[in-house]
Parts: sequence; C-alpha cells; structure tokens
Amino acid sequence: MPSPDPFLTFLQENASIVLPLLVASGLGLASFAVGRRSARSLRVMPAWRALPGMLEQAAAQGQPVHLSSGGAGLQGSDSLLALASAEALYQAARQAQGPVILTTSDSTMIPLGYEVLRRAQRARGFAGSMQAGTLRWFPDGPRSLAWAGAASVLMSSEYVGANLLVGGFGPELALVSHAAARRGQPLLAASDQLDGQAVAWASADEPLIGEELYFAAAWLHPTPANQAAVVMQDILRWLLIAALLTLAFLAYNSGGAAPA
Amino acid sequence: MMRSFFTMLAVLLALTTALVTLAGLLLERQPLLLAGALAPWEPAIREWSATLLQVFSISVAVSIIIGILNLLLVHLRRSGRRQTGCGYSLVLFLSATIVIGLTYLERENLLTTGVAWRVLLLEQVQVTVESSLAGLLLFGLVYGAWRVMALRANGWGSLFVLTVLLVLGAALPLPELALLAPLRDWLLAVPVNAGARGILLGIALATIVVGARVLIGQDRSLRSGRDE
Repeated sequence: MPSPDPFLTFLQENASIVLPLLVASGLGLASFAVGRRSARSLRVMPAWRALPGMLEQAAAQGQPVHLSSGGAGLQGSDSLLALASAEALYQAARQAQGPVILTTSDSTMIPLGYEVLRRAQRARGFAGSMQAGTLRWFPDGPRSLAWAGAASVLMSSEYVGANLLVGGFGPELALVSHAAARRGQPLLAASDQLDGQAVAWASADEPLIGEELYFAAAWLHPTPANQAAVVMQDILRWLLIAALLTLAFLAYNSGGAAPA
Repeated sequence: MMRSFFTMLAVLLALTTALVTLAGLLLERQPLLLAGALAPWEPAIREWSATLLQVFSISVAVSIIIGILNLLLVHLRRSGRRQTGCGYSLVLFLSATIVIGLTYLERENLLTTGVAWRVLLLEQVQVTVESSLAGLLLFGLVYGAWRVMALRANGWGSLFVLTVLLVLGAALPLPELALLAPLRDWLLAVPVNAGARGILLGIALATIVVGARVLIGQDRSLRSGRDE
C-alpha cells in the first residue's frame, strides 16, 4: 500500500488553519477584482433590502429600534458569529435615524456592543456620550429564556418600532417574535442555530437564512472589501458543491462506497 | 491624526495577537514541521500564546462584572422614572441586589439560618419562572406556524405547515396515524437532514470568510473611521 502524501496529510490535519489562510489570500485578490462593482450585481436579499424601510418607518413614528445579538459572544466557536452579528447591528444602527436599543445575553458582547453603538453614533454625526440604557445585558447565554422574557417586556415598554435580531438564538425566539407580532412591530431575524433559524424563518417579516446574516455589510454598505467577502463565499460554495458532486459521482462509479 | 495612529495601533495589536495565536496552534499540532522555521522563537511564541489565552479568560471575567453593573444601573435608573415597565425594573433591581447580598452573607458565614437561600431562590424562583416560560414556547411556536400562512401564503409556506402537521401527527400515539410514521422518518432522514446540513455548511463557509477577514485586517472593527 503506497504511503500517503505528506503534503496531503498536513492539509488534512490542519484544514482549520490552512483554509482560513487560503481564504484570506483569496479575499485580498477578490477585493482587487471586485473594484467598483455595483451592489446590484449581488444576489437579491429581500431582508436586507427591507431593513432601511423598516428603520425609516420606526424613525418616522419616533420609536426606537431594537437590535439584538442573542447568545452570540466573543468566546469559543461563537466569536466569529459575534463579529458578524456586530457588523449587521452596526449597519442597522448607522442607518437608523432615531434611538437604538441593543440587547444581548452574553456578557462578552457588552464591550463590542458599546463599540458598535459608539461608532454608529459617530457615523451618524452625533457627538457626545451615549444615552444610558442603550445597551442592555439580560443573562444567561445561549437559549436564554431570561433574555426572551426581558426583551418581550422591553419591546412593549419602550414602544419599539422595529426589531433586528441576528446572532445566536434558539426556540426562545418564538416568544420575542410572538410579542413583536402582537404589537405589529416589524421583525427581521436570523440565527446560526437550526431551531432558532426555523423559528426565525416562520415568524420574521422577510426570511434571512444561514450565511446571509454574515454579509449584511455587503448589501447595506457595499464597499469592494465587503463585496469581496460575498464573492469569496460564493466561490467557496461552488467549490464545495463541485467537490460533493465529484465525490458522489466517484462513489456511484465505485459501487456505492464513498471514497475516503 | 491621533485617531489614525490609534487605528494603526489596534490593527497591529489585533494582527500580532492573531498571528501569535495561529503560530502557537501550529506549533502545538505540527511541532516537527515548524521546528526548523520557528525554532528560534518557539519558547517566546508558546509563552505569548499562553499569556494571550490567560488575558482572554480575565477579560471574560471582567465582562461579567461589567454586565452585572450594566444590569443594575440600567434598571435602577429606569425604576426611578415613572414610565411603563418601571415596576419590572424595580423588581429586577431588588431581586439582583438581594441575591448578591445573600450570596455574600452565605459565603462569609454571616447567615446561619440553616436554609441555603441562594439555592432556594434559584430553584424555587428562577427555575420555576423559566420552566413556565418554556411552557409558553409551545404557544409561540404554534402561533409561528399560523403566522407563516399569514405572511407567506404560497407554496413554500403551505409546504412548511404541512410538514409540521405531518411530523406532529405521526408523533401522536394513535393507530390511525401509524401510516404516517414511515413518511415522517423519510422526511427527517432525507430532506430535513439535507437542508440542515446545507444551512450548516453555508454558515461554516461564511464563518471561515469572516475569520479570514479578521486575520487580514479587513474587518470593520479594525478599520479607520473613514470606512464608516
């Protein structure tokens, strides 16, 4: 039996490190390639297209916008989700013309949340300190029923005009979406968890599925760097599809057993 | 000028941290392969990598303290104003203060009533309230299914509701519905499984792209105010 190629073995053992490095190089190249490409060339994303209208409506009624990252936080495997969620919340806070309330159930998201709000405030041209109570922490992490209960009350007591919930949510999202529907508040939601995603799809005004929550900036603030991320994601997806089809074809030809 | 300097400093700090952690991980996984390339710096990289992880743990602990202070201050301020929901804020503030006080007294052995108040409050109040909220989830989910038809009365919406009804129906212990069981099993094993894997693969790819953006300093949090 021939010995396995050491290079392939290295790639296999270190895929989690090598892949991001390859993608990083690809991103750099994609940024140059995208250049001044128009945002219209990206695939249509109804939820991100609807968001500015929702924010405008809330501002017109003088109501605050509720943003939340749920249980996403800067620890463990959730860190990158937290960053993506912060990006989406920043874009929404930047475009909101009225007050914003940010809620989270992970304490590590508090500094990041303050940074998001501070930057958004600066981008909107407001100087000075933030209003107290703009960021609220409701414990206790993923699938937090405490967050769901408190957020439902907040949506009523603060007369929220629109809700954007992107991050880590479980089935507790049903309580919040129910509260939003009862008060006629528009809601956009997406989660990295399957049960939360199912609830989000069923109850949100416009669906956001899976990876769509990671690329809010490409639609809301289409710079070459932001669009390059979507282009890279699409390239990776097609490569994955090609790999899956090739493996399926090889498995079919070899009599049913998938190649190792 | 000053802001650009701090932005540069933040980018430099973030990239150095990321690269040192990455090198630390590589050294741990492939010590022989990288021994030649990183040999002179190996002890320093290992030490820095461990220190960075310790700093991270401390930051998490500090963020919890910030969270508790945030919770108390926001609700203390709200309970002082006569506005909708100020009663909830007052209850929350008092409960949190009492629990913190009781925990301190118990830890210092100053409260010797024989009853573990902290555990009692957690089990009799917190767990009960969360259980009742979890019970309410069912109604929220049923309402969600109804809302699908209200929002998206199309083929996909109908398919969603039909699937929910089929899976729930097959779970009922009624002999008349036993015919649905093989269909439910196939649904869960093939289309549901495939869809779930598709969503998770999409999320995994997006996560890799976000990670790579952080690594090369393309993430917004590492860029200057001009990008805003």
